[in-house]
Amino acid sequence: MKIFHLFISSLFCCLLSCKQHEEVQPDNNQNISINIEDIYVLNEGTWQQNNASLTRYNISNATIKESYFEHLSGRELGDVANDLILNYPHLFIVVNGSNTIEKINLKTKNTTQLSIINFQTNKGRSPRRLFLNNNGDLYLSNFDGTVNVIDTASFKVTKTIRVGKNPEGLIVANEKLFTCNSGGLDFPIYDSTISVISTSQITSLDTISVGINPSNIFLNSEGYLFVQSNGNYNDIEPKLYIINSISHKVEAIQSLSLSTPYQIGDSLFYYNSDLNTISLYDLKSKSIKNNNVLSIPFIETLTAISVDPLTQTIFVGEGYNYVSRGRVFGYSYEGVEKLSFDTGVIPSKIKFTTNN
Amino acid sequence: MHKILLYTFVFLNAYILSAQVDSVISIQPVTIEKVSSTIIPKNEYDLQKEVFVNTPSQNVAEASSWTPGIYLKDYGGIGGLKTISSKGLSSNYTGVFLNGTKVENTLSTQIDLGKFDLIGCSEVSITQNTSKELLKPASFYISPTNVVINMKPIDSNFVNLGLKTGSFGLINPSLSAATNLNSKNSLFFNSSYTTANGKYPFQYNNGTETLNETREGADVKRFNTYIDHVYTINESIELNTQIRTNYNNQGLPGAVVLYNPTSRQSLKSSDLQGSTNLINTKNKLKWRTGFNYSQSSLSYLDTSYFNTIGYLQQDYNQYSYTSSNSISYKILPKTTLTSAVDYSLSLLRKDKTINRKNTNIHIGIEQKIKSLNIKAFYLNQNISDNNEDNSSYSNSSKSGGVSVKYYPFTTSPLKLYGNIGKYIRNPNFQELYYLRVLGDLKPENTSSYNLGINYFRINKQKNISWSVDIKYFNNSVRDKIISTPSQNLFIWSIQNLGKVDIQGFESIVSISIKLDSSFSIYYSNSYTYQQALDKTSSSNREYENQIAYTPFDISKHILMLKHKKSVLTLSSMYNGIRYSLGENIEANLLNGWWVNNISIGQIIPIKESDLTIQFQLNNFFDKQYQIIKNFPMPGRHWYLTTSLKI
Repeated sequence: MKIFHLFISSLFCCLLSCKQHEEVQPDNNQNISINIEDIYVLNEGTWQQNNASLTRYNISNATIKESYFEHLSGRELGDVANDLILNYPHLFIVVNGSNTIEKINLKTKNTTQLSIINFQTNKGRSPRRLFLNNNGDLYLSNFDGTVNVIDTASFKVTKTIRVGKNPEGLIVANEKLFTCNSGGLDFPIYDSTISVISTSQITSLDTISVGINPSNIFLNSEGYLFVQSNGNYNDIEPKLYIINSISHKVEAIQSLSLSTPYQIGDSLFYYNSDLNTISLYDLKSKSIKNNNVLSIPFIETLTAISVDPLTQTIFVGEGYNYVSRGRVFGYSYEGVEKLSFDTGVIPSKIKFTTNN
Repeated sequence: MHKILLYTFVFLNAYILSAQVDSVISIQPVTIEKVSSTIIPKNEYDLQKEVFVNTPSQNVAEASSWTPGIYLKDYGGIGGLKTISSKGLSSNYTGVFLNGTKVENTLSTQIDLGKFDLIGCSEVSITQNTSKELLKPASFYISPTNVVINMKPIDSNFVNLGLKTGSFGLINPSLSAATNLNSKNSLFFNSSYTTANGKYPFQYNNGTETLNETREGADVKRFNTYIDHVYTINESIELNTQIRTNYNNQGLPGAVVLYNPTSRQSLKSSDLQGSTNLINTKNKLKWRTGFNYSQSSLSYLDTSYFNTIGYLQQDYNQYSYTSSNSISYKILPKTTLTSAVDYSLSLLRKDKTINRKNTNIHIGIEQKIKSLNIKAFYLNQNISDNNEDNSSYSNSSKSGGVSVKYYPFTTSPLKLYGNIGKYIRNPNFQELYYLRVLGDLKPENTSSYNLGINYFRINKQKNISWSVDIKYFNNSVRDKIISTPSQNLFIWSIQNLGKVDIQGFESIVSISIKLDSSFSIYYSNSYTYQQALDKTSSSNREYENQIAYTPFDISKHILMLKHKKSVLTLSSMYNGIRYSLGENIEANLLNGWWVNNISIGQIIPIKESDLTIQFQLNNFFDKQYQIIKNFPMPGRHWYLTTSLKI
């Protein structure tokens, strides 16, 4: 039966590659639809092409809606989208090149735009990454060295906090805001600090020293922070810093590069460039649990990872050469292709809504 | 972050580092008495001064765009970067020669042709493989297309004061003069100053909405001078010295990015170029030997850059020394041998210094056999770079070609012609040293051939002449240098992977009618159809798609009516659809466009002088269009040029 399904899915895969818009669903897809309703893919777009976009793929109908944002709002998303948060019914998108944040209500289909501009200098702040706090506030890192706090209900900026240089990933834990100050625009003299700011007082509590060019930060169930420093892409290698979120002390440093990460609880899926696989790092035990969850030799340029543990599906974004349209593939843990569909340029975030 | 930095690098280097300096100066009006009232094109590629003066051609880039098959890439407005290309090939395959000296750039090969103003230009010609220019330097044979610009004075003794004003807040006074200092010395001088705010209204679409905006941050200040001195040593030898300076300070408006406040980038540059040549064009053995020095400093500033100092400033200084020697020897009545050797040393200084030594050796032969004319050329290019302690490129290559012209009937001006050639394009500093490169780069190579028919006729009364030229062309680019991403966004792989197959056809029709001694009509039209397909890899989405920014068709019309001292010109340019990226999908589609212009000029003699007034209304249907995606071009705009020639 498995072989039959495999044959059918390969047949459908061939058909898939010929079609432009509508995707035919292979049989194996049935078990994805047990849990997943819609897949949303954020396509970064190419710089100064104004072609950032949102793709929506509906599992049960197996249909794609390209330019979903334009379909809902009647206007384009903008230039270079960098982050996406899905918190049903809301979808938040950071559009870096256009200096805007968009809020989409997936139930009412309303879209609202917020400009991220420093009104004193009239310069866009170059917004980068979002974090949604459990009290309903959005924290937004901006490359001009600030973090904006945005109230999700009114969708207005309530606070502007000064942090380090060119902040990227950020997180709020224990009423403290931690930002990765990459200093990327000062290349090759990167920054190497984490700003610690009290979210209630908006005062600086501490500055933690880590490796150069920190970009991503994760929290485990025991209150430990994991900071990925990317090094300088030359002689200084990437490193993972493990920090106690109460004492702010660096307790361990591991020579690891957890690139294109996707976190679910204490599981962190990432791309292992040495082995060309999707690997799993366990944040609780602070070690690699499985360095070959899925082998992906056929992916030319991996741009996104997403995982649905319930249906045991791994989604990967294929960016090809960064200027043509990308593609998203869904695989079982055994490497069997369950679905695939075309996206816009550089599919960088894959999120999905569930049936419950 | 890294992607922004990378794109900034790539975009900056392409956009700015080709010395994005422009010059806008008043166009020297034509003296109608000096030129015969019928305009007979010398060959299909010569853009006679009268034609380009009366089309919207501020500078060499725009002027060249009126010749057949040339495609202009323009970033818009007075200051926008302008480069040209031909027959589906990139602008790296177009050489630019200013009074015999090759003008180019080790950083990005292509240069901004918007920089070369039209004051004093008596001739702009676009040549394919062959050119009527004598004693061409060896570097001429590197590219299949060469733009040859000759800035010669329109008269031997004159002073011309000009003032051009118009849209964009333009004020452009100019002064040019020529004089024979004595029987052996003549001097020609040009200068122009330009100031403009560069503003223009434009429209763009966002989803279902059409928005109106004004192009801001595009102000320009420019000052150009040019001096040309000829010293006649004896009846066959002359010494020619030229000095050109160019100063430019302009805002760069950047792409129209949705919802984004205006960008704050600016560019400052200053250039100095001097050359001296000893030429003998009279004897059986003709020769030319010369030396050229040029320096260029470029400073780019972005005040919206979020590093510690709060701005990004990139300064580039380039210096180049070239020695160029050519000979032409008519060994037999029907046989001419040519040879040329160039040697150049170019330095680029930005943080570190990189230098390139370049030796080009050319040998050629021209043979006439009855009604057949055969030319063959051979070129050897030797390049050796020195990149301080890092990897340095070096290469030695051989290339060449043959062109044939045949008049099958002795009683008829019908001409059949064909060219075949191979061209080698070496990588520039940007490709080799300014992005992270994995692996060694080789030069690109292009094999091209074309076949054509040309017919030209003048009637018995010599008052009507017309010509038709139709050709088929084919270019194959191999080892094309393309950059592909690796998993690490900050390290791109630059390799010789690309392949492009180009073919097309081109037709040129022109007619010239002299109705009586005071009234004449000239019309010319060219149409080019080109298919340029990406053949890099069948697993790419771009495979067999039309490559980016290559319109499927281009056409140009010029209609000129002359009556005594008045000239009325209607000109139209058409670019067909093209794609902004390599994938031919609707998201990347750029619409085709027609732009129409009208120009009226009148010469009013005042005693011994001539006052010329010319009014141009360009894009009179106010067509909203873009050549480069998100860089809107000006809609309707006008210029008024007044000049007094004494």
